[in-house]
Amino acid sequence: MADSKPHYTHLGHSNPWPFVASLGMMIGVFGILFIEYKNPVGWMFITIGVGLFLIAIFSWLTTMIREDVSEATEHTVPEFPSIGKWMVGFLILSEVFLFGALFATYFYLRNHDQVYTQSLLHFYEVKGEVFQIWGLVPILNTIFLVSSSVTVHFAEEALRHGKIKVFQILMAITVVLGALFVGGQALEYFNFSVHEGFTPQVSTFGGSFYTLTTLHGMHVLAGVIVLTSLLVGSFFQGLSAKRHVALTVASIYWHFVDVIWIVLVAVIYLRLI
Amino acid sequence: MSETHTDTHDHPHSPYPAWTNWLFTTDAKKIGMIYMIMAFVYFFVGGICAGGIRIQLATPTMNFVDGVTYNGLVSMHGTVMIFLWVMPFIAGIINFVMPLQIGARDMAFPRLNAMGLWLFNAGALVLMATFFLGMPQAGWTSYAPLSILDKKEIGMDLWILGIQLLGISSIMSGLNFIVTILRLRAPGMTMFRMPLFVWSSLVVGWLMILAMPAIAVTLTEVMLERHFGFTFFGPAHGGDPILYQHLFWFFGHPEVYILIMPAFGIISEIIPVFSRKPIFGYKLMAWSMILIAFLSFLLWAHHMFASGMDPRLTLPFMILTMIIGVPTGVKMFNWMATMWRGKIYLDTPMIYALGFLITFAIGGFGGIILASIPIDLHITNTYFVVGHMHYVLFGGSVMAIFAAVYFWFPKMTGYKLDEKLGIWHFVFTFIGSNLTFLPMHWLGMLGMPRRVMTYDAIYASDNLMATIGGLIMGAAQLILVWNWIVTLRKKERCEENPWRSKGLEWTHASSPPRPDNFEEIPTVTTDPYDYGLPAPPKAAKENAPKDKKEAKAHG
Amino acid sequence: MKPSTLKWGLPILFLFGALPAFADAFIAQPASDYGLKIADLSYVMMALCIIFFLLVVGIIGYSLWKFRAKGPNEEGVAIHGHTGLEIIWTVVPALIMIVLGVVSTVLVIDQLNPPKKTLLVKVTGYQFGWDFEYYQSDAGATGADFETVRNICGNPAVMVKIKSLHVKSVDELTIPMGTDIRFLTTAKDVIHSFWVPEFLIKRDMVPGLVADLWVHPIRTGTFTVKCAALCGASHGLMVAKLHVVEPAQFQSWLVAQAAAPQPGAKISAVTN
Repeated sequence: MADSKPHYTHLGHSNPWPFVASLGMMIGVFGILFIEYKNPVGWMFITIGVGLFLIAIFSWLTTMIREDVSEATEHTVPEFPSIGKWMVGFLILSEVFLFGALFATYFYLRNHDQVYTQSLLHFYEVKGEVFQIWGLVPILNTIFLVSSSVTVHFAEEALRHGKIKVFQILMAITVVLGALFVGGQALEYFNFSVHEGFTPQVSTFGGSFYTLTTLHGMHVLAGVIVLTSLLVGSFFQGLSAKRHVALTVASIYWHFVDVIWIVLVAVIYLRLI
Repeated sequence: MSETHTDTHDHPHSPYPAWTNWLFTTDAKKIGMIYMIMAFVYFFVGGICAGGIRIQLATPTMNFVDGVTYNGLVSMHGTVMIFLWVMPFIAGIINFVMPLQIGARDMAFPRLNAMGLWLFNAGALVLMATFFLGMPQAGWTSYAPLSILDKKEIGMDLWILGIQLLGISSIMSGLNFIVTILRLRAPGMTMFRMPLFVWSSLVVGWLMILAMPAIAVTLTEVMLERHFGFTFFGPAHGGDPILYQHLFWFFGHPEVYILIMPAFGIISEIIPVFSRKPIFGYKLMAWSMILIAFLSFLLWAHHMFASGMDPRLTLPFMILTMIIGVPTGVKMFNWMATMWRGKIYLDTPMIYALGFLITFAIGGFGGIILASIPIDLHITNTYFVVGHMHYVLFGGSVMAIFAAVYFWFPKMTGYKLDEKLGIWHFVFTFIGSNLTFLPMHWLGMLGMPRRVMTYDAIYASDNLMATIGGLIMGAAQLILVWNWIVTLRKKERCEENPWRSKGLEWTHASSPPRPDNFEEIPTVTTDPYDYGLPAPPKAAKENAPKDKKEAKAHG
Repeated sequence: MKPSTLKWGLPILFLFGALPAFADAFIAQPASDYGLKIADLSYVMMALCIIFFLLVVGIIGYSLWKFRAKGPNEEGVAIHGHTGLEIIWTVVPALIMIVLGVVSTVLVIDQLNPPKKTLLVKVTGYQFGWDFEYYQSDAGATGADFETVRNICGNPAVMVKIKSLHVKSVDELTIPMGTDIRFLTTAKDVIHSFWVPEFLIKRDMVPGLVADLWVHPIRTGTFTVKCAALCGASHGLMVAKLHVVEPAQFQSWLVAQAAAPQPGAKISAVTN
């Protein structure tokens, strides 16, 4: 193995963005506290906190991209691809346990309800009727998300073969599909809560459904933001045939988000288990 | 932007003003130091909480604090000691020592490392706010429905949010440890040439990334139920309090193995050095840590034997709890076997390691007793558990932390801590902690529940003894503080490798190390515990006098 | 017998022989026959742990004496391990665990099968007191049958089937000696826990859930029922009195309560 100097060249350098990002999260946390106690000043805290966080993440990422542009290639930093992929791999493993805990909540509460009411479907009732969550919007969303995994895969291929324009078009489609998914979820939430009385508070099914799908939706949103940043970056030579690790990492993450959706569809929407 | 090779060696170029050197650092050694210093600050905060508890429990008629304050102290003592003392110290010592031990210049993700540090500090501040705005009332375990009952208890909400920040910090640290160890080892350092402290860091990383998500989900659900009308745990609308316990302990049990695993690694480093012998059974020591970590995810409900969950389901958890005792016992025996036929030097790190062996053994035996469901149904939620947990946490993790401090202080600073003060620190800590925690075992067996602010008069003498022990234990820590002050003032440099350790951090890095750790990354060709001289050949042994008498007769 | 054996053997023998007398000081005095078994098992476990602990301390102490370095720069023997030894100290503890596991499982199964005919006492905990309600039961539900336990207390139809004697008592519990008694535990607000140390068994009282445990008291006396789960500011003060009395005494007490209810009295009769 070559010198274990990590894959960036700023070794030992100070960087303010981790501190700023943490500060933003702390301020945001106090904002949440205010909201919990029905004090609208919380929204100000949350805005400042989220703002600081996003500025910090953006600056952090641009520093990474800028320093990599001038220094790193696969010849000078052989383990560069590995580290990013390994990190996202272990991150995904951690997130499997995150979603796992929410699925555990769902199954436990469903079983608990079943034992208590002796009914298989009572758990899914809203206003006395079994609530149907599978419909046009989740069907379309599934098509969007699965397609976006396909497009991002081919976008990666295109980039690896140096076809930047093709890459950019496919990335744009991926991002649009992802955004459509998020929009679709928001629309669905609106319809469910406002028009059909299926709110998170209505029952334990409501609580577990909304927490699962919201956590997933947040991941899709984060993925859309990251993919958009990479797309924008590609206009400034941020990515090339030789430098595509960030995209590999992001697309692995995107596939994971897709897989979670499939599981959600199978378990929560179609009730196959 | 061009970096010359010399730039990174001694004076990292920074575009920011000098006062930001520590605030904006991404150097694992600096990050480690901040973690460890803050950990000790919070050790004292947690200790003060303990002092409040023990004063209240000194006599059965004491009215030192009221019930609300008492429950707050109980909750914060546990929370602070776990999340703001042991865990950050662990993060700190791993940050400082592990990259040096594997021959790396830094962690794989230095900026992520810094983020973990500052998120820890942020979470700590949020928790500290409870001392001013109202402490949480439901213990460090925050069982529902107690934790969802009083929606105006701001301490509970602060606690939840603080722990969330701390959890994210731990996941970041865990990711960093794993990728660093798997990808950044020096050439020649195969997995089975890694020091056991590195193995324990790898295992702790896995535990962190897989266990913390559960507490994040659990506390999010509590928060949603407290303030946003969701139902998960409240029985009135279909929730189940037992669900909380399953979710919490799925995190909670691996969490306590997070707390002890690095202690195992530290002791495995120290005993070979001060016995001048290789660790006994290196491969089994590594595998036992992996096995313990794996099993720790499968036995969470041994905290729930009396919970009202289906008793038939409790049996597999009992069996798994008993199984995990076996690899743990193996480690104890292997440490003892390491000392056998060694040449033992009783410097302070070794004295603490020996203290660990004794007090962790007591804790372990208490654990075996608790593993049996029928016995547990009597002593769960009593002072027996408090005794057991403090023997493994204080007698285990904290003893090892102290051992690590004395052992690696010269590496971090270039100075050796005073040996005499070290011994006094040990003596009073050892006596104090045993006086405090041993009586708790029979207090529990006799009938004293835990988390109570008063008790029957018959428990008075044991409680008084525990309080006195606690005060001794607390005061003893001032000896360590005094040792730091005296040593750092004296500025008496010691040798680069005062313990004659064969770890890379001692043989190839200066004390303190240069910013990029090594002048040149070493290539590893030997096993990590290459101590001792070969055993005398068998022929010579046969001719040797059979015992002392014969030797004397032969002259 | 060699003098050295006597020198060490006698005190050790005395110590172990005398230990049972000390056991009283270390564990609650059992008042039920299941409790006796638990106390015995606890005593055996503690004794074993102490023996093994002394062995550990002995070996460490001996090592420190025998293998202490006398001068600087000495080195030990480069032994890396010994497979045989490692197998021994893996297998032997495993065997001990197996024995402990089997004994414990037998005791668990014991509790899972309460006798068919018991005096039922429903214990409801709340911040910070206790309601005890008595029922006679030939319901015949086994401990393993959770739905039935839940339904006994939740299902009005089943309740009616229980024989009509139903008395409620607050913060004070009276039960007869020598009878099988099944406690059904639940709570109104947060989790509490029902624990009489002298029965050497506890069960949490969980809102929305009915759990159970059963005992067979073997001696009369007055004991304390303690709450063993953190339930709020007065958790440490949440206790109740338990009177275990002769069966005849219990019957007359019960009938007297049912026959002459005092308004606002702590003990009142509730008719089904």
